[in-house]
Amino acid sequence: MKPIAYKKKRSERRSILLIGCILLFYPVYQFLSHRIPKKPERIELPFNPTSTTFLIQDRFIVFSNPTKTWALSRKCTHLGCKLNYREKEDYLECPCHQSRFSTSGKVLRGPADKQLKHYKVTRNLDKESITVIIT
Amino acid sequence: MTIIRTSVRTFKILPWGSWSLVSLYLSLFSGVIVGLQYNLQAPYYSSASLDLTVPFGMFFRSLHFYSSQLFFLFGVAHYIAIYDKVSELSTEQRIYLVLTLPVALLLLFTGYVLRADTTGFSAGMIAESIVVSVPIFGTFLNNLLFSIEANGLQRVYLHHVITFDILFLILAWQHLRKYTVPPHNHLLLLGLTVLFCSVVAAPLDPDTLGQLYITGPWFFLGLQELLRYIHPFIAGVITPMALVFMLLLLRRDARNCKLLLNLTLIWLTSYGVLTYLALYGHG
Repeated sequence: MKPIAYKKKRSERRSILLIGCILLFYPVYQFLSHRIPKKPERIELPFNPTSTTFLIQDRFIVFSNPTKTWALSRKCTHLGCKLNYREKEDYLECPCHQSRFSTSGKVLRGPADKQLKHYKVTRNLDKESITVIIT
Repeated sequence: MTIIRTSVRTFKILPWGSWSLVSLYLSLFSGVIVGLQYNLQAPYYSSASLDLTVPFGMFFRSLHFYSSQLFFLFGVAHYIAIYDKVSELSTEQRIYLVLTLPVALLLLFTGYVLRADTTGFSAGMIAESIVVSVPIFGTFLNNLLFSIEANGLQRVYLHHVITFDILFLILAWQHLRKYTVPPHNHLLLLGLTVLFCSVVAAPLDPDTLGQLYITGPWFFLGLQELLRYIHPFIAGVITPMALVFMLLLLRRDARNCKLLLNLTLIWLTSYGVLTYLALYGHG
């Protein structure tokens, strides 16, 4: 085969490969852009709301007062660091940028600007434990 | 003046590139050893176990940590020392070599995340939030690179041990294939690194509840501080990319060489100030 014809054929093959790669990008993009929704998790914890006021877990924190029990995510709404509960001051604080949240989940100080996620809490029949549903 | 000139001359003739490569050899070797005991299902537990219970585990983790840091730092010194010669490289080769910098940083960064202590976990979550903030492609990029919240450390591990290493080799291959760096020519460096690592452990946060102030990896601190004030996309994507972009354009015979050099220095100084603020500015 003449060198020019060979070069032309090689160039054509490269173009086909490039077009193939570009076309493949779309399914890869669609595949990776999809997020499978998390399966809800039910976590049972020993917690008596009449004698305990808060309980810290890895991903959430449970609070209670005489009228209700609620659970808040410990994920900071700014950049996702894990919040600490400062019991004395009665607020949650982010160790990364010091955003603060009230125990009801409202923003007290930025840079975070969204309130914390609430999780559903149910009191179990034994009255000594609760179930937190993580979604 | 003479002292400065002599120091600059000495700096330029030191074999930074060879030292960087020898440190990479050590990092790869120790990385394989550490990886054999690392458990992706219980990352913090296995990192702590390496230090506490595995025979010589603390030494090998330290060797992996510090040799990786040396590989990066010597690499940066190498780039500064041979800056005058950058113009001799073809544009393609220059782009490839400058891009090794962010890839090497990603290798270091994913290493920090994999140890899964408070610093590592927070750094990973911050990185995930930054990537998600990228317009249009945010979710795609996060699913490709991190996705820590949904998939744990699976992707971070994959990229640390395979993807970023291959990417680094592809980018540096044209450059590295020209040189032979036998480790036995650098016994002093090897000996000193091994000695240092047998005495000093790699950092690992204790598993305590309620760490009130977290500072990320040293090269991430300026960025962490910047994230306090501006949007994650600008702080975490545009700002670091600006440095890479300036480095891509920077060469001795570039038309705006002086301007680019000044901008790069301003960027680095500002980053230094932000790093200082992150370390000492919030008590």
